[in-house]
Amino acid sequence: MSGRRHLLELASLSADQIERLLDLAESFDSIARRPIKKVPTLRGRTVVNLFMEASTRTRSSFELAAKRLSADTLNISGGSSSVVKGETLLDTALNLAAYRPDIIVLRHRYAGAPHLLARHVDASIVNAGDGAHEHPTQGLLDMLTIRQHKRRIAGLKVAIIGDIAHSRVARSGIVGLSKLGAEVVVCGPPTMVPVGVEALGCRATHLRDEAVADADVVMMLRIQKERLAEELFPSDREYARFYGLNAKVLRRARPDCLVMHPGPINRGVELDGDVADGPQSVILDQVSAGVAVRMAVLYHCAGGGEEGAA
Amino acid sequence: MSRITLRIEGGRILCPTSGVDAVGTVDLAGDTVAAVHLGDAPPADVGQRLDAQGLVVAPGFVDLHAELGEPGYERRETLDHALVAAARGGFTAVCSSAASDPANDSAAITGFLVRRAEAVGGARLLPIAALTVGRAGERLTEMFTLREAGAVAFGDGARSVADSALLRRGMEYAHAVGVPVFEFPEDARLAGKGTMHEGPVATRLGLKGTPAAAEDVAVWRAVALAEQTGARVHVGPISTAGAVRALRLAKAQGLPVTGAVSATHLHLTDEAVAEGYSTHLRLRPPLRAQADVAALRLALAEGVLDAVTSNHSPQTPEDKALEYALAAPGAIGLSTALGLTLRWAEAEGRPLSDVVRALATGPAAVLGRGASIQAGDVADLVVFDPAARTRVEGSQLASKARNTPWLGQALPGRVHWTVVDGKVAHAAG
Repeated sequence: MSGRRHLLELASLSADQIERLLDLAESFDSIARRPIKKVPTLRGRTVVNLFMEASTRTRSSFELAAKRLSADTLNISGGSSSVVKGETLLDTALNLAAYRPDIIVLRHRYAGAPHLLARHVDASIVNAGDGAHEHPTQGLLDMLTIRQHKRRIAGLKVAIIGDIAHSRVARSGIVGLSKLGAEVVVCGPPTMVPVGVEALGCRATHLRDEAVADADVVMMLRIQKERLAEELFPSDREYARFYGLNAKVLRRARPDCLVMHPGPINRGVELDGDVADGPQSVILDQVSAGVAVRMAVLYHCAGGGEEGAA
Repeated sequence: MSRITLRIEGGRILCPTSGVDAVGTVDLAGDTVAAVHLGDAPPADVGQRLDAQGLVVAPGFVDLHAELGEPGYERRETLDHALVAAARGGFTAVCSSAASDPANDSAAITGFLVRRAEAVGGARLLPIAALTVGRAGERLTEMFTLREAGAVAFGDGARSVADSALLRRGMEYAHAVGVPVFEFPEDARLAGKGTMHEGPVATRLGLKGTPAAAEDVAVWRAVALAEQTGARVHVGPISTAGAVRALRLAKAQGLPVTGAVSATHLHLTDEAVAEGYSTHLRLRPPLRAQADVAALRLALAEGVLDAVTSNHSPQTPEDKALEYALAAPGAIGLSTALGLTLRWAEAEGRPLSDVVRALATGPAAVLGRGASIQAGDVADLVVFDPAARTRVEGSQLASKARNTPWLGQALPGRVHWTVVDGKVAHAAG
């Protein structure tokens, strides 16, 4: 609906808009360090978390973000709702819209689902992950984490390694990072690197060591067991040896290279435990950045200006 | 000398078969063309007159690929709607796909369709019966019996026969029956769960893609089997440059292979899907890349493609108001096929006779039929204004369904009259 601020994808944001959201997130980040982790910014506003796909991290992150802004939250998960009774997404959303929420945060297994809601439902729509398309708040929190550690994004070499084809995290990452001037390289077995991915703003290689060489940031993606059934790769064992990240492979990157992962981690497959828990890992920083980013996004979509937190 | 029941006067008679392209008058006696007079027509005792000045008089259009809803899918479309929509679109004959529910794999269903259509009026219905029982791809149907009941071709609707050996046998058998096999060219395994063309746009949108190879493999297979068996096979609708290449080669070798393209695929690419994941652009075959569209447009001009089809695939609003990956594929097309073909001809500088070839003589020839305006011919004609523009309005669509990407757009052409079997089946208001 026109007049509403949505966050459907990073692809339709300018570098400037992304930078401003990151700046906003920085200002909200400070709230997490206070004893009273709450500001009245969105008091009286309603945020609905409509999660049609299982999620612990993202959902709790959005819920916490809304509560810290003093908004009223309503959490609906797909498995327990009328969807099981055969109600369409659109009907579910229109019914929710009757409560006049300010924002609906949607996670859905099909790409384009948030766009469908944005067209038909009178609320701001925030995409919390739509199929393999985008996960814009993940992209933003990854960029915020990098910016906090490296002070910049432009000129950094960022390697994203894993099942790029099925990854919305990868797509948002490539789009966001390249807009801010990073040099992005994606890597995975040929069956997992989609056709024309370069057009999103990256290079592509099938050689892990080449991707990791001199990287400032290495982002590992989770391998899903379902992909084994689709014959996209022969075994976990082979994947771990040739596409996984361990301490030895990490030494090919720059000494201060950051190790990132959106979680949950398949320890020993795409990422070794000692690296995940090691000094270069910023995985837990990503999680806290996530709450700040989501506070910024909710504030922005609710019509907040760029002045920052109260 | 029989009385002239209908006289169509002063129109530009365009008949590619006879080579006529001149202003004149067409006289009908009952269901037959009695005479074609170029220039002035002799006075005669005439029943009904149609003033076709400034209009084109052509053989009625023939549609090779359409889903008409009956039996089984009456929520999407019925013959009452579809055959009227066809006539309004200038079609005097429409092939019904075998993909009904139950599938059209028996003389009972074929007969039902023929009788229902006769009762409705509008365009003629030419049933395509299934090649395999239940369209399941396992056993051949009783093709002689089905032919007797009225089937004009055999094909499993929008589904390719997976078993190549069975397709071969089916083609051989259909050859003896004397009708072509219609193959929807898509290798199901290669197509996978793709919902649009596999390419950079699908990658950007995070949608699973159907690779062009899924179609190319099936077309090449059909060509090889045509060569092996000498049997006629028609592939369509096609969407890739690779399929065009295969067709071109097959024709150069004189093989009995024909092909059709959907009118929409002459114009739109996969980029159209990127505009908000519009489910009206989820089609089968999918919209492909610019290079594919260019190849299809050229192939139509060259005659490598025999026909333009509506690929009429009605869907209920509920089946389209869903997430893209769940939405049913397809768009209606009987109302827009002429406009889209005219738009292609205008853009490519093709003569109007090419439009008539694409919509009438070409598809008729695929079925082994003629489409011409000569004395003795069946009186199936269309009278249209190629220069007018018509806005595609929901309220004006005779189809029960509304799923078209062209809603609200102005397309060239306006059908004034459609004459089926010598009777006016459609007269524009």
